[in-house]
Amino acid sequence: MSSLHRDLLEQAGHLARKEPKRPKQASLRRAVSTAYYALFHLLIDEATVLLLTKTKNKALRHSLGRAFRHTTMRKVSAEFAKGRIPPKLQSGNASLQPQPELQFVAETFCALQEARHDADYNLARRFSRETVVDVVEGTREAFESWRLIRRSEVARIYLTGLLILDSIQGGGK
Amino acid sequence: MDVDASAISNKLAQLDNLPTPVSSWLVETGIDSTDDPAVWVWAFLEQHGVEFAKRTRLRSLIREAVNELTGPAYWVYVYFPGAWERDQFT
Repeated sequence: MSSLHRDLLEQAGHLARKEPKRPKQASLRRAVSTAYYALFHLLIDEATVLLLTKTKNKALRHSLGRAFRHTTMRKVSAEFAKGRIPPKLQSGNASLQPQPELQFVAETFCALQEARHDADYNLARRFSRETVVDVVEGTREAFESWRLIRRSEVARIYLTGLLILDSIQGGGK
Repeated sequence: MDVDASAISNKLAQLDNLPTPVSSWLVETGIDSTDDPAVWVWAFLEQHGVEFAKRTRLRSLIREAVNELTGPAYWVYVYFPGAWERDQFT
């Protein structure tokens, strides 16, 4: 079945290899940006399914999806990438630790977000085809890693945190 | 901790037993898009089509080596262009 995140990942691969001999910076930059949005939308899709279990109301899911913020997602991912659950999300879950696959997904998200920022705004930064093919392949691996751990409790905490971390009142555990 | 790019580059050049050969290194330090201190490393690979597992191991080695100098607060962004693409970066 087609989905936005899978289509975006496929499109990123096409863009990375679009010009066989002399790749255009525009294609390479769009490939990086598209790879980021592929992972971004995969995680939002998974999170909205998790958080809205009792309805098939797609419009409601799409509204919830629009509440995710890049900065919060980055902040949460940075912690999970380092093998930690942020203190605000630890309540009752202090003994849990992100699996290596989840750490890889979170690490890839952070790296992609930075690469996307450069691809979209930093004209001083050059992108080569090999670099971009590596970025796209890394995104594909992150999709595969996610598939392995998506039903785990830590993955649920991660998805929830992507939305709520900055809205949780008070500090610590 | 304040570490300059040349110190990092020198340390990376001394790494041995790499999973795949690196012909040269390009290193930049600065502040990333989230205002965190960061290091960007371009490791120019000698071979085409290096398998993902080897690139993953190399990425880890690079991050460990950089963080030994910078401390863990620095984000390390690693890219793998081909050695044949080196002229695009100068």
